[in-house]
Amino acid sequence: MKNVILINKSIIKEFDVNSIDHQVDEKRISKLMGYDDENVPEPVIDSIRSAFTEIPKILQFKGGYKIFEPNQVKIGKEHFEISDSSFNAGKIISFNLKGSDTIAIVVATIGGKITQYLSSLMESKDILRGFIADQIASEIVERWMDNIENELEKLLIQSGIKITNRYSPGYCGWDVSDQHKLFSLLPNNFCGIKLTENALMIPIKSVSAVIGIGKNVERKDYQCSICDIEFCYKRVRNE
Amino acid sequence: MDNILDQLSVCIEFGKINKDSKYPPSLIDLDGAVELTKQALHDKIAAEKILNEGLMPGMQRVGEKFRDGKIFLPEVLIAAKAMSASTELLKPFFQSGEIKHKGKVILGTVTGDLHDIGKNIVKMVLEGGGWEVIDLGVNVGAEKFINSVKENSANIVGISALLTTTMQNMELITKKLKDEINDIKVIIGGAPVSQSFADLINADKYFHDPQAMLDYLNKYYNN
Repeated sequence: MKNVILINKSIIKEFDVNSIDHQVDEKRISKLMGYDDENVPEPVIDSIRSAFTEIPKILQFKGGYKIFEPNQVKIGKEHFEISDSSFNAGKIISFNLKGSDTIAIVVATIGGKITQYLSSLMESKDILRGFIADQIASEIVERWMDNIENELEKLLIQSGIKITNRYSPGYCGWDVSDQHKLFSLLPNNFCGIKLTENALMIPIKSVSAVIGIGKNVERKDYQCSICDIEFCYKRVRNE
Repeated sequence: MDNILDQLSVCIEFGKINKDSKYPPSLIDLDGAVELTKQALHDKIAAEKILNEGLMPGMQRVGEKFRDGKIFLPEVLIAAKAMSASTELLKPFFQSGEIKHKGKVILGTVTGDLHDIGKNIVKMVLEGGGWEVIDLGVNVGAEKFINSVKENSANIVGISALLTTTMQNMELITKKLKDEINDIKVIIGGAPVSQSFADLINADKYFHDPQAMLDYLNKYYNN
């Protein structure tokens, strides 16, 4: 971990590492696709193993966060504000950020080479391998984000400060178009992630989120039961 | 097994591509879909019969097991790969018109979106189910969909999106397709999309998984 920078009273940290202990394994990927330990077909196991051989060679882990000054942050019933930007995050997220003294924007990516690898599998018409490799890549970037979230928690807990769950544009009722405002609050080209006009992060295997910070907040189980998006990735991941 | 077509349907069902395929273990060292299709053609079994009584029943059983939650998407793809290997051998008969696809579907990922895995899976499952698929790729706008529908005399379009921003572009594409082409059916899919969104943008249907789309097409639009 490197590149600790202090800008005014906000804290910005950027990480750039070659590998992480992501703990994404065969069992986890099989489970995400619906299998229990017993019934995974051989071609699926082969594809998972092949992807686990190839993928680690091409991952580029970059990530980081920016913690804002408390006076820059305001949390309402269905929205929150950072500096001059207002985010219509909806009731679920706003409720869960309630009580935060400030907010951190957190981003993570596993780089662009994985996109090329996935495309090459698709071009070779190996859809099964492509599908499985995509599942693995998505899971690894989420685990990388978990690691950054944990780093943030470790930094703050020394002062008795806690964090909420992370909440991402595009989930829990928060429109992904707010991504533009979110990235405008970060340094240019932060962690090498860029946005397309449609708020798609490039590299594609990247994630962004906000995390509430304060003495009176806590991490909770995801409240998928009160959201109406039946097939959301978060719901599958948190089951 | 009774005959070569029954054997072929089992190979499709379990994704036994050829004799060298190690999967499934129960069929190891036996002929696979490729050898059996070649043998059936050699035995002068009509291509249409091979398709309808050998390949399709295998895929149909795959669809039923998927619907019942007995298998998962990877096994559908494994079966579709075996199906694809067999249908490749039947290609000349499709080209000559001796056998026909069930219909034609134009597929594409919506303007502004570069995600293609979901669309590619849909393509593979539909092709495995006997449909001809014209794949327009990613970042496809209304004009390209319209032109493709006209060029291919198709009447079913499938549009995919993975982002809540890009899914908004489905509305314009759907509107333009409906304005321009009579009786066009627009089907949408992708993680952020739902039936209520399909209703909102006047699309005809939303499906969560490719098998459900295939079942629907087979039921209502099979030529």
